[in-house]
Amino acid sequence: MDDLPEPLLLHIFYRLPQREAHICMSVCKYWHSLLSHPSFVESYTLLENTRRHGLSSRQRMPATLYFLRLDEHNKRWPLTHITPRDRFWRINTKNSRGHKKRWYRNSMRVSFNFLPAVSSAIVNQRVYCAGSSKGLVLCYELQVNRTRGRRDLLSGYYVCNPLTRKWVAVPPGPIETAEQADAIRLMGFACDPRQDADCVTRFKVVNVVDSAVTGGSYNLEVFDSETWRWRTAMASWNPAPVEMGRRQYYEYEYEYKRVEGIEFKGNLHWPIRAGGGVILAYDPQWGDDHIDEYRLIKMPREHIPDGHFSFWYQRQFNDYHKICIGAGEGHLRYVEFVQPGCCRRECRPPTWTIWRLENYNSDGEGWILENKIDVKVEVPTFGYGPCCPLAIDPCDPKIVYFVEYDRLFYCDMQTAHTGVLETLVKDDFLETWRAVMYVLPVWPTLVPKRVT
Amino acid sequence: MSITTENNEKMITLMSSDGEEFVVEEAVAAQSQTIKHLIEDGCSTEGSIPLPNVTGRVLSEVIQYCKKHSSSDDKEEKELEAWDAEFVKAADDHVALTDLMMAANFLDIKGLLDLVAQTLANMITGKSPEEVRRMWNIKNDFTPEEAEKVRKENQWAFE
Repeated sequence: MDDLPEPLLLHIFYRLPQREAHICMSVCKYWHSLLSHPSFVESYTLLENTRRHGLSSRQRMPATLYFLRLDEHNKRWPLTHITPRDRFWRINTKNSRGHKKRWYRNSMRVSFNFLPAVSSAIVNQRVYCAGSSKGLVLCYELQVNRTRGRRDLLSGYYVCNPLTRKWVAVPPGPIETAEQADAIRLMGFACDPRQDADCVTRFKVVNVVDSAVTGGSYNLEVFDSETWRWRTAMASWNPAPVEMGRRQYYEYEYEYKRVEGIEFKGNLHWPIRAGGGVILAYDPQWGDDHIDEYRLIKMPREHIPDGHFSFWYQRQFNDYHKICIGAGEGHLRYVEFVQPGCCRRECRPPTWTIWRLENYNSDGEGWILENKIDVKVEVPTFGYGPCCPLAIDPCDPKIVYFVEYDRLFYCDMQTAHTGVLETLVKDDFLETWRAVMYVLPVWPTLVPKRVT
Repeated sequence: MSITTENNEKMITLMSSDGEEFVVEEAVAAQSQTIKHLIEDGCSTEGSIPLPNVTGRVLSEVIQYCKKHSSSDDKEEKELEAWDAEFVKAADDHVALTDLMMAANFLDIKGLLDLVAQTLANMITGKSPEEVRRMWNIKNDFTPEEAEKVRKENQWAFE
C-alpha cells in the first residue's frame, strides 16, 4: 500500500479509534513514524474533539470511570472503581454509521494493579485516589498506623495513566514528612490545560494544610513536575473558616481526613464550610510567576445556619444536608441533597437540586438552578433514606451519582430517571464514600518523566 | 461540447484515462470541486474534460455517487447513509477503495473522500498488525527487537 500518498493515509488514521491507532504503530516503520509524530497527535486530538462536540451527550464515549473509596477508618476497599457500563451499553448498539463497537472498545476496565504499592502484600499499606486531570490520575500511598493517636503517614504519590499503565513516583511533600505535622486536608491534582507542545503534560500536586497554630492561615505545598520539587507557601483567605469551630470547618470533615479537589479550567476547587459554604478555587499559576492565587466562590445556598452537622441517625431537628461539586461541559456545577429534620419532614420533602455557575469569574453571583427533584414524588424508590451526592458526570453533567445506605445509583436530573449501578456493603456512614471522576482523553497522555 | 437536454439541464462529457466517455449533468459533475473549477475556467466548452488520473471503472463509481448525492438534497439523511453504506460495500476490497479514495482526492469530492476514509478505517479496526499488513500488502520492516519494543510501548492497546 505504498501507493497511497501520505495525506490520504493520514486521512484514514485520523478516523481510527485511539486503540486501533496504537495497534497500527506495529505495522511498519513508516506507519509508526506517521502515527507517533507530535503533529499527528495534535491534529488527531483537534479533529476528534470537533467530532465529539457534534455528538449528543448520550452518544459520547463512556469516558467516565469513578474510583470509590472508603475512608481510612473503614479499611475494606482501599481503591475500587466502577465503570457505569450498563448505562452506556445501550449507546454502543444504538450508534449508527458503522461505529457500533467503537464506544465499547474504547471503554475499559481499569485496575491499579500495575502500581507496585497496590500489588504489594504489605498489609498496612494502602493506595487511594486523590484526583484526575487530563487523563492522568494521582494516587497516594498511606502507611496505616493502627496505634491510637498516631496518624497515618503518607509515604508517597504516584502519577499514572490507568490506560497505558505507565506511572511515575512523586516523593511526599515537606509538610507531610515534618515530624509534628498536621495532616493534609485538601488535596488536588491538576494538569496544565494549555496544549502541550511536545506531548509532555506538566502537572502540579497541591496540598492545603490547616495549622492549629496559625488559625485562619494555611500552609500550602505545591509540587511542580517541571522542577520536580515541592514548594511551600502560606495562605490566608476571607472569610476565615474558623468560625465553624476547628472540628467542623471543612465539608465532610467528620469522616474524611482528606478532600479531593475538582479540576476545572486548570484550577482546583474544594468545597469548604467557611462563611455559610464556599468553594475555594486555587489557581496553580501555569505561568512562571510563583504567586499563589486563590479566591472564594459563594455556594448558591447558605448551609445550615446553626452550623451543626449531624449523621443521619443522629439528626432530629436539623436538616440533613449533603453537597458535592463537579465540572463538565464548560461549567462548574453544584449538587445538593437536603432532607429536612424529622419534625419538619411533613411540610418539606427531601430534594435534590443541581446548580450551574454561569459566570465562572464571578464570586458566586451567577448560579443558575438547572433542575430540582422532589425525591418523594419523582423517585420514590430512592427517596426512603438520606443519600449523599458523590459526583457529577463530567461528560454528561445532568447525570449525578449518589450513594444511599447500601447502593450506588445515578440520576438524570432532567428526567428524574434513576438506576442502581452497584449494591454496596451496608454502611451507615454514607459520608465515607468518595469518587474521583476520570475522563478518558482523546489520545493517551504521556506520563511525564522524572526530572533529575 | 455542451449539450442541453429537454429540461434545460446542461450536460458535459468526462473522459477517463482509458478513453471512456461519460456524459453527465453539469450539476452532478460540479460536485467535484476540480471539475467545477475547470468548467468555470471555460475548459468544458472545447469538448470533453479529460481526467488523466481516473480510470473508467473508478469514474463510473464516482459518477454514481455524485448522481445520488446531487439528486437527494431533500431526501432523508438516513436513506442517504444507507445508500452510502451499500455503495462502499459494493467497492468491496481495499484496492478498489484506495483507487476510489485517490480519485475522490484528485476530483476533490469531500463527502466521498470522508466516506471512503471512514470505510478503510473501519476495515482496520479490530485487526491485528499482521492482518493489516496482509490486507494492505505491507512488508514488516521492523527487526524483531524493534517490533518487541514498539509492541511493549503500546501493550495496553492489544489487551
